[in-house]
Amino acid sequence: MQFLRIGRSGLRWGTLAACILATLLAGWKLAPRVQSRSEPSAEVPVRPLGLSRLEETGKRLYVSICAYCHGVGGDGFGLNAPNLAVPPRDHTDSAYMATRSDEQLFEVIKYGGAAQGKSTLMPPWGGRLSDREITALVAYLRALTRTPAKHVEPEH
Amino acid sequence: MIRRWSAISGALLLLLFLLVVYLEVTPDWKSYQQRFNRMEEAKLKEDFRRASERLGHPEMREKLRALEAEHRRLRDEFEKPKTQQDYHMASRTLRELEERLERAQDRLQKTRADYQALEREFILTSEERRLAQLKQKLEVTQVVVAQAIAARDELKAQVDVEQARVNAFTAGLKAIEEQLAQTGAEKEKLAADLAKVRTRRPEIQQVYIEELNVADRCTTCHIAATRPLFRQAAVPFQAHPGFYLEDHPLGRFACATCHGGQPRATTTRAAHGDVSHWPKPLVPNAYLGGACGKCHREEEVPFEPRLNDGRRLFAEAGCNGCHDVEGLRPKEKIGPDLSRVGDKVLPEWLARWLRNPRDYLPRTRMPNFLLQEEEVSILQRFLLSLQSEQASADMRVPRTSELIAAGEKLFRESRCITCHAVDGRGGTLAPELSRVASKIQPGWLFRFLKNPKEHFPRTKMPRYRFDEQDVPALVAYMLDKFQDGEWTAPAKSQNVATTDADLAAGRALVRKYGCYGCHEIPGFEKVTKVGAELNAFADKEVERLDFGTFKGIPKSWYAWTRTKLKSPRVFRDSLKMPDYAFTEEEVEALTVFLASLSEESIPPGYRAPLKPASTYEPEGEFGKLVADMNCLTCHAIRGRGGTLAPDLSYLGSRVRRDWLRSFLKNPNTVRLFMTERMPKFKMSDAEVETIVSYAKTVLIHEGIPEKVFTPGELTPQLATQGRRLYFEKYACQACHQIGLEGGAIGPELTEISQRLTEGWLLAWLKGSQKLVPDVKEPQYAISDDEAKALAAFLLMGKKSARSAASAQRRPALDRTGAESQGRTPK
Repeated sequence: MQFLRIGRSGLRWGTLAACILATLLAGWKLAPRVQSRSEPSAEVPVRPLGLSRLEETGKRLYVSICAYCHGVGGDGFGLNAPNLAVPPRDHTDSAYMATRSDEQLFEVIKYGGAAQGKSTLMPPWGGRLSDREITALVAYLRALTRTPAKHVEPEH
Repeated sequence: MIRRWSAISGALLLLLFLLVVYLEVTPDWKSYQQRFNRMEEAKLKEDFRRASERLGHPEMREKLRALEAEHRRLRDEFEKPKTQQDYHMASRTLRELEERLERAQDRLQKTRADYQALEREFILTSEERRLAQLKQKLEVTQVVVAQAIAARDELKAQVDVEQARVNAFTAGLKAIEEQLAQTGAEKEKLAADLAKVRTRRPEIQQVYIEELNVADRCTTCHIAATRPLFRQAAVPFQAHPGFYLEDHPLGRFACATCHGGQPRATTTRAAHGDVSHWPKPLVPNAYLGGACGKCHREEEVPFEPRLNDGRRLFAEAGCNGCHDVEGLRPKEKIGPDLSRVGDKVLPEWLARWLRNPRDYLPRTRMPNFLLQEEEVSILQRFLLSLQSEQASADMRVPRTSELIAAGEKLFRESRCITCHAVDGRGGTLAPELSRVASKIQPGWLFRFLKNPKEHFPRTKMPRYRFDEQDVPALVAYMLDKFQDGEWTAPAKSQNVATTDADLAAGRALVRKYGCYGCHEIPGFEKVTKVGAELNAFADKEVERLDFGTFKGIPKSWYAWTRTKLKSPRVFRDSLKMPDYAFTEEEVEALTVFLASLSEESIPPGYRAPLKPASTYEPEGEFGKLVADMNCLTCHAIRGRGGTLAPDLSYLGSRVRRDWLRSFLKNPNTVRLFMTERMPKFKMSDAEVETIVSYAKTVLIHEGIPEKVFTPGELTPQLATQGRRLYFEKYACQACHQIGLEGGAIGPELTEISQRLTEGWLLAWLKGSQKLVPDVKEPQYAISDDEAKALAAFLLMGKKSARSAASAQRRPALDRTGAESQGRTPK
């Protein structure tokens, strides 16, 4: 180290300084990845039925319009059911609901039972409900036969 | 030794330096983008392979070969010398024709210009001789112009013909070429996309919105947010669910506006706001409704049920009695007026109520203030001192069995349970009466039933037109029947004396707990609300929330708010907020609503428009009747009023005069699905006439006449057609009853010819949602003829009803539904 005019002690101190600097540098770079809030920000609260917003909207629509025939719980025994020549569908019947695709459910609500070879007593709701509202209803129908264990995080 | 140490420290330094460089050049967003690129590449490769397979399919190959053969044949045809010669000649002819057309057009322009010049001169000249000369010239020129136009048009036609002939040579060729291009197009596009993906470099994606002052980099990792193709992918590559981006495009709203987080950050943790002192961490999905509520301040935000519930609950539970929120200050206080409560209640009841309101009335809005026994007694004495000047002695009301029986009959006929529940059955608009005998002083009840507004000017209770003997009968019945089995009032109500010290202490307690926020109390008209104002509650950083000594919940805004709503005094002993016993769902809804109370500045273009408030005010005699009977508690007119009963805005156009008269005198059941019934007010004929004439002149719909059909227009044939439409095509019997058969959802239709006007019936059949926006009826596209036939069927009265009933007893017209269900139809 002649050209820099640093003696042995200078080297010692220089090395020490370099070590400290290196540690600080590493600490600054690594810290943001380690430090965080005490709990994750996306906590999911415990909700009774665990319905997403779309499903909850569908539920409100169901109760206000569909439940008269299909029952408040979707079991087909609504207040009006005894007056119908053909009993309304039981939407809590998982076996049956599994045989219908989402598109079929959408169409039977929008265009009525007649459009799917079912009874004309199921009216077409396409004029009264928007496509989005019918999508919400389909989401709720799926939620009715969803087993609680499978349901994880509601997306929307 | 030093050399060893220097070597070690040097090596350490080098290693650390390399580590730091490594961490700097490999941010996690790059790896996400690379992973996404690989994912998309794999997807495109798969699609490419499938497209190639499709093209390689023998059927497809045959088709392609046929096309190519046809193409070759046509080209050979075209390139034959004779064809070429014809083609060139035709092209030349076309060119010549086009030139001639151009010249003809020029000539036409010139002659027109000449004409216009002459015309101008004609208009400006005043000399007689010149005028005649010009007139003649004009006529000549007009002819010339006409000729030029004819020549031009003829040439144009010729050009078109020739053009078509030229095109015919190449038409077939062009069509084949297009088809060939199409079959290979899909594959080519995929190949191009694949090339693009392969050469894509990692890059920070940013959305900058000047108006909101946000530079949002979330799409750097959430790359496919706007690409519906990736709906099924895993987070973070999943496309944004739902239809939110359709209404709130990224370019106008960015991500952090609704979702929170730190939009400018480029590492996952920092971007999600998961770092100390960032005030807005990512909003949990369950509470996103709060973000909607910042811009959407209207009552019903579509597809946000919990936000709407929370907003409604905030007003219904009376939170704004203590907590001020701008825009949510109701016109009236939510609790009853206490200015003369000393006249109304029994002292023992008052003490019981103050101890725990839910003990007497499980569905009350008043929360439990968890008062000490001493506070209860002070408040009791203070409130009992609030009496009217003419304090009348406690009335003695005779309770003979005849009187009680008469009262029971009257109670039933007046349909009090429409609003007041008894033993759990009835409406919730007014307090439940099951135990009211233990609450009120008989004299007060007597005076109140005679004229409710005398005690309580803004009461919602209507004034029934009771006779002299009606009220004592009612009072006798109520005092006899509605007693509290578990708790009996003493025979003589205790006389509670109030000293001045009591009054002072009482006033101090009222000030402490803020009772005046919900109740009118003399002397407390202008006092400020006792709770914290909540306009910026959602903006409060978690560090500023007082968790007190309570542990066991995460340190987040949501946890604090939920806990506070469930057990308001749990954080500290000195807190005063009362206990509302909210259910889990109510807590959830209120938290979502509170998360929308933010004072962050929102540019005007981003605020959702609010519905203007109704300015309807009923005038004159009708207005007096409406005020007296509080019609607008249940009915709405032009946007003002309640939703318990049908909207009356178009009452005059809807119903017939005679029916309305008889209904008001004696309300019966029209809509079978409604559980509430209109009470019988015992109106006089004059009062009924006032209402009917107001309805027929003011409450009308401009486009709906009373009568529509000419006599003789409604024939039995038309009615038969209508019956078929009713039962077969539209299956109206699913919801409507005729006679005794049919559904119980819509109004019964047996006597509809006496109730509805013809115009309304027709308008309703054509589109009921235009008349009543939230009607429960499905909307069919009924043509004018069908509507007339249906109207004929419905208006032809009882005759149809009988044959309709027999039609119902015929075998069910559609068995498909029942059979496929495996259930036997009824």
